[in-house]
Amino acid sequence: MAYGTQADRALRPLAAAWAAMLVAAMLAAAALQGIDERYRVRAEQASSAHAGTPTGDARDLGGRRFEWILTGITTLGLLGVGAALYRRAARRIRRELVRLESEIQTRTQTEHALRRSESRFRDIAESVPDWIWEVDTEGRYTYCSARAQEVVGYAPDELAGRTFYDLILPENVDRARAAFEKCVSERRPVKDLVNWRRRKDGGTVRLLTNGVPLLGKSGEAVGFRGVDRDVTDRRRAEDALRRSEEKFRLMYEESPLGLVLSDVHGGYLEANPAYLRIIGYTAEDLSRLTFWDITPPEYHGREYDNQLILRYTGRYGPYEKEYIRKDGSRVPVLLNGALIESPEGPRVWSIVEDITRRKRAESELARVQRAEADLRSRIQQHLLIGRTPERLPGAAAAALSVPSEQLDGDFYDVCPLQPDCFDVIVGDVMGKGATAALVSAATKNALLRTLTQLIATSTCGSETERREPILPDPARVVQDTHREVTPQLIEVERFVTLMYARFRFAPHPVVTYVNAGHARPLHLRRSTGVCTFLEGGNVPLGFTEHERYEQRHAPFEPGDLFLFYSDGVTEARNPSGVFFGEDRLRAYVEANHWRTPRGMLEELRREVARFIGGEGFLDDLTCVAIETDGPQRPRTVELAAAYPEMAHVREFANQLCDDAHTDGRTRDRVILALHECASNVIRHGYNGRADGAFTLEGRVQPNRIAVQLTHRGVAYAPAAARTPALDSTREGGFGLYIIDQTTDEVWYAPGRNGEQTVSLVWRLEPDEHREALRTDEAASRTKR
Amino acid sequence: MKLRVEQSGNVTVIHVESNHLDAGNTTQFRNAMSEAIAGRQAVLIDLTDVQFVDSSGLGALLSCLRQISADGGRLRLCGISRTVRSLFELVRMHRVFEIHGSREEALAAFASERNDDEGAAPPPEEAP
Repeated sequence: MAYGTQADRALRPLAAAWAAMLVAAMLAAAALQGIDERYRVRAEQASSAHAGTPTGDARDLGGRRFEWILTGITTLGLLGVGAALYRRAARRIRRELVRLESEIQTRTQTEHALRRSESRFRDIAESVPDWIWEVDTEGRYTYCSARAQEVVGYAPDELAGRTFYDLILPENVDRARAAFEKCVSERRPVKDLVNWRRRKDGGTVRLLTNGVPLLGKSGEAVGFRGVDRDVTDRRRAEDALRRSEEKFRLMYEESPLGLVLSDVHGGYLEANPAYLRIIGYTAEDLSRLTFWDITPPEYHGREYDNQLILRYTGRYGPYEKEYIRKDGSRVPVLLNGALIESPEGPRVWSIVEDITRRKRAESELARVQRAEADLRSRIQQHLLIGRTPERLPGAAAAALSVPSEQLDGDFYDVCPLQPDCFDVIVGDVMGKGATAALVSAATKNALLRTLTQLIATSTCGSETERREPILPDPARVVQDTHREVTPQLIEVERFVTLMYARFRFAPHPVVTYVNAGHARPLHLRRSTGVCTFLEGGNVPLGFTEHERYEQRHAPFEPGDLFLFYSDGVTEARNPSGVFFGEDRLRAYVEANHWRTPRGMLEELRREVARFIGGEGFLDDLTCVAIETDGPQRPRTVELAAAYPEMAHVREFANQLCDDAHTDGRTRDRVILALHECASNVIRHGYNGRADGAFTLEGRVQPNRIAVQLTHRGVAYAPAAARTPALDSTREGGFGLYIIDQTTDEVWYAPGRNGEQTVSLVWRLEPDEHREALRTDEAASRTKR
Repeated sequence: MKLRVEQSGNVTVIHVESNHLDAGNTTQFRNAMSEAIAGRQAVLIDLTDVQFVDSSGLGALLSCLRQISADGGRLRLCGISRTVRSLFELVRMHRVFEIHGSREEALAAFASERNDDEGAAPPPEEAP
């Protein structure tokens, strides 16, 4: 319609022109008529002027009117014919225009559709991950989608004019050409052809090719159109999957770990060869078993726990158990497992490791560690610490050495030198391990050698004059030892803290000591029950070669106690990192003032262990306790191991209680305990033999009574006095219980020369203590 | 070991004439007691002279108690010293034995017990 309208519009000027020409023609005719009329009037006027008759003009005027009408009619006729012709022509033109318009519209629509189709094709071709191409019958590319760049590395422009043979691996070209030519001749499509191509970068790419022949007008193939898909990755993925499957199959088959799939009730579903080897059953056996059948009964409880854990956490283990093998033997295993969901229900995959060898190795390791600990202990016992005699001139001694888990450098020794004199040496080498132990041993050796040499020197030449050699001062011993060992200590970058103390009782009781950077010993005064530290101001050995060691003096009273210790005591730390410390140590000693040296140290060990929360001492716990004798002399009696002697035992106990001015409950306890102890020696120690004997040595200190019973019978040392049935059901077994209940300390220990000792201690009550002190003072005043 | 056995009504009073009862004399004590208490229904052991008892002596006393109880009889103790009592208390035997301060007190306890028994049950056909 638009085109028709336009045609009308185009015809309108033509029609207007036509009409205008007609009007112009008419106007021209009229004008010519008018002009002619005017010329005729003028001529008539001129002729009349000359002749003057009007008759002939009127006749001409009528003829002219006729001509004019004729002309008009003719014109009108022409106009009519023209109009008819115009209409006809216009109709024809209009029809032609409508046809043209329709044709143009169809063509435009086709072109639009084509353009859309092309665009779609192009979009698809560019967006699919495949390379779309067209080749002619020679295999020459006539179209390539942009994906070619990604697939083979060539841009579509670069491929234009090249054949696909250029991309085929040389060895495959002939085969590819033959195949392609056959497809062309037979107009056969190419389907799922896997082939390798060379990439522009020299690499290869594996393609899956599909194509269809393009047919000419007569049905002949004029080319191919198709798609190449890069399947290199897929192949790789397939290969990887295959390799992975192979790997896992190998792992399953060849793994040294047992792999087993079971249901949640323990029924076996699958097991690898390693698992079968561990348990010694065949796969066929397994189908009739559950893991309960091969789990020893003592592990059943743990297995139930594991099932719960598995249900709530989806995992179990690692945990160790044993399996009962087919041959009845047991095999230790380590298990781990996980719950998995399968279409058939929940399943359990377990990994089972045979840990027989590990267990053996652990056992071997434990044996080696025991041997090592033993060696360590022997080094410590023989090289670093001396055998502390319980009795020293004028004092009782005890030593405590709790080795840490490593070899440490603590050392000590107690050397009785003269009837009223002995030395105490306590030292510690900085650091741990074998070096520390060796340095420690060397230092101790140097000290003792120095002491011996100095004593020997002082004795020479003066032997005739003096019975006792003059002992070298502690300062001299330490100074000479320092001179000998410090250069070596500096060389090995170690230093040694040392406390060297000499106890003398005559003419006055005094301790002379040198403290070379060691922990400050404690001095407990019995008279006041108060502790003080022995101060000392020298640096450790090995610090500087120019140190001058000086000695100090600390007078003491009979019965006073001295505690020497290593920093392992004060530096023991509790789980919060708090040190045991000097203050806690002092408070402990004051609170336990009544104890014997041995009891003091044993209880200290328990106290430190309680403080740190266990026995795992990081550092050696080394202590030496020296208790000087009280003012009262010991009371001793030797008795035959026979029941009639029991009256003497009771008498001895009574005498001690008299010495201690104690009565009442304490006296009952002393008599009962001593009586039971002597009874035990007769009954168990000598088993009724009549030739036995035992000795009782009793000492009264201001704050306790202590008795040591020594015998040569069989040792009996109950670990703990068990509480007997305290009703009428048993008539015996009360002895040890009574001893335990009626003493404050009791020790069973081997003595010297195959003797056995039992030490019994009773703490005197504070009022008894004061009473005893008063009496002692009165006695000493009387003596004076 | 010497025991002095007396009869006070139906009560057999055994006076231990030793100042100690311990491992040294318990065997004699057991033998002598075994004879003295055989078939007795009411026994009073007077320990006034005994100043010391040890675990063996205690065991011997327990043995007596069991023997008398097995025969359906009753054992009481009297005259124990402070020291002996402290041992009894230590091993809780003061709860097992019936202990009285004096012989009279113990005999009164026996008499009162006998009266109670007679009130509660018909008299026995034969006097013990």
